[in-house]
Amino acid sequence: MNIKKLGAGFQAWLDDRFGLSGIAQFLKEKPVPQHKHSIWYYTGSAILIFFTIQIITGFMLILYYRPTLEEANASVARVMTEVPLGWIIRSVHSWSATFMIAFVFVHLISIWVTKSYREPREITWMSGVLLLACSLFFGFTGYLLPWDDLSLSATKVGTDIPRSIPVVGLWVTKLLRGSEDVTGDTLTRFFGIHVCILPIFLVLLLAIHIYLIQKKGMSVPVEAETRGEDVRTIPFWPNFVFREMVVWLVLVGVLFSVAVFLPPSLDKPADLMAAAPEGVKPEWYFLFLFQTLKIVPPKILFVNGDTVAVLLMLVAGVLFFLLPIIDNKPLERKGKIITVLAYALVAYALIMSVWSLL
Amino acid sequence: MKTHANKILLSLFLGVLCFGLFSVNFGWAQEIEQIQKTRPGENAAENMIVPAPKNIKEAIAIYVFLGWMWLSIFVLVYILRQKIKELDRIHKLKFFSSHKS
Amino acid sequence: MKIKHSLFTRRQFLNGLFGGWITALLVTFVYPVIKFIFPPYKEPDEVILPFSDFEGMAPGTVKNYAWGGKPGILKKNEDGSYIAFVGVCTHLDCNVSYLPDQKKFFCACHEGWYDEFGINIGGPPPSPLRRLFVEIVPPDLIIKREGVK
Repeated sequence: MNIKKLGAGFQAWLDDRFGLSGIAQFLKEKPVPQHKHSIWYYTGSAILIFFTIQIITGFMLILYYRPTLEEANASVARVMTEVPLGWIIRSVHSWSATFMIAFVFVHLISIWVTKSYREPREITWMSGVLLLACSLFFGFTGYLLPWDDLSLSATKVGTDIPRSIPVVGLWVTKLLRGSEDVTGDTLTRFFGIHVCILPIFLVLLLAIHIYLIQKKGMSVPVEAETRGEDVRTIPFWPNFVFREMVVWLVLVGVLFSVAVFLPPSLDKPADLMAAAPEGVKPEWYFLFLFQTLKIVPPKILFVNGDTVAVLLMLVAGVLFFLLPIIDNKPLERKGKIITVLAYALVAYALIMSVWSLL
Repeated sequence: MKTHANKILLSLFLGVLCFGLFSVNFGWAQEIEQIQKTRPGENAAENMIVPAPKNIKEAIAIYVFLGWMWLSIFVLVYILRQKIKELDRIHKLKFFSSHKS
Repeated sequence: MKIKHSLFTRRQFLNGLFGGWITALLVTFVYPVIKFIFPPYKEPDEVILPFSDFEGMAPGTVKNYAWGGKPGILKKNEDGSYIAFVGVCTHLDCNVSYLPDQKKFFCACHEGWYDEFGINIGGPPPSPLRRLFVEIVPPDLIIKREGVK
């Protein structure tokens, strides 16, 4: 029996039943444009690589983690001290979250600035915004799970923010916390969200996002499109995928090196009755929001300052979601202002984040 | 990135950066027992669990693993770049010739 | 010895090297994953108990003790000597009980029977109850694993 013939025979057997040779052919013919902004095409699969690593390390950590108030911190401590190489797995999970969210931001800004969200890719953008929200919520819920002083305080602050929204605010806070205060119920709730509810939503959104990308094809910069140029392309498989593999290898290498040399430590278990520790701050991707709320004055024109700030953030979120509908004339003045807005927001986020650390 | 040489340089730079900038943490290799048990009355800093390898054997195994991982990355990236060059060559031929496939 | 034609083409060599090296790299990643998922289980070499807890046992009765995560059974024989077992059925790991009137160990899961010395005499158990060694060094009662000094 020839191995090659066996392999080909098996492939034919599968294809008869699944009919996936159509997909294989599609991937071989799918054109990936090559131009000076092509480098941003690599950000999408980079996010997927980190997400895959999160799933694998998450599967491993969940074998030992105990999501109750009494045992959470101790179970993480056990992973870090007793389970062989547990501290590395936890460190990889923690750093991969950071890298994934960083690449999500880079991906988002690159799409914004190249206006890839324009017609007919509006829903791809919107599913992407929801994916961003999922990723941030993953980070927020995951942060509480070790149940140490810092994560408890950060969660108290984070779940208190929606309270300033008029009418529904208290309900949102109660939904997140499981009661008025942060308790063991909050931990159980966050755990369920982090390992069950969010993964399902994220996979569904991802399926929509990826399907639309294949259906609509890769977008090219708006200038090239309007000039009607024929952009040079390379086939997705194998040319582009092999280039992506180079990027994946380097990213995984950097991730593991950083995880080994800068592993996160674990503080003592959270005390619900104790005063907040010094230096309470959320994860880096929330710092700019955190700082914005810190500098808002207590009252703005008779309205609670926080309420104004949170409402503004919500409005910004909605506008952000509807960006492709708003930016319907990408080449005109409105379009150019929207592009500059992206840079302004990045600058704002960076300045606020650095300020919050000082 | 325009050339593949840039990618190699970038990964070398990142590798050196990791080993150089973060070399302060080489300290963990020398500290064998890092487990801090909680004792009442101690201050917060001493109640932290600082992760580190359990013994020198584990520390060396980790260094060897990282070395092997980076060596593999360089070799695999090199082979991938050769393959990419070849695939691009084939693609160009198809584009400019008159074959059907 | 010179061969006329290559065993494989340059393309095949490169592909083989690539595939082989990636597999080797993945295996090095899989090894720590396996170690993580299967943490080492070490059972105790010996268990030291206060003899006073067991001194007053009537002959022909048993008392439990902890052997790592498993239940241990200490039995005082008619002649006053002690015999120790790991109280886990050799069939499918259920915990056994002692029936003093019948002088037999019984496993309720599948009706396995052992005699007073732990030898399997009825039902599915394939081998006797695991014996541990008892040493009395006042004020302690030491129960040791086989082969431990």
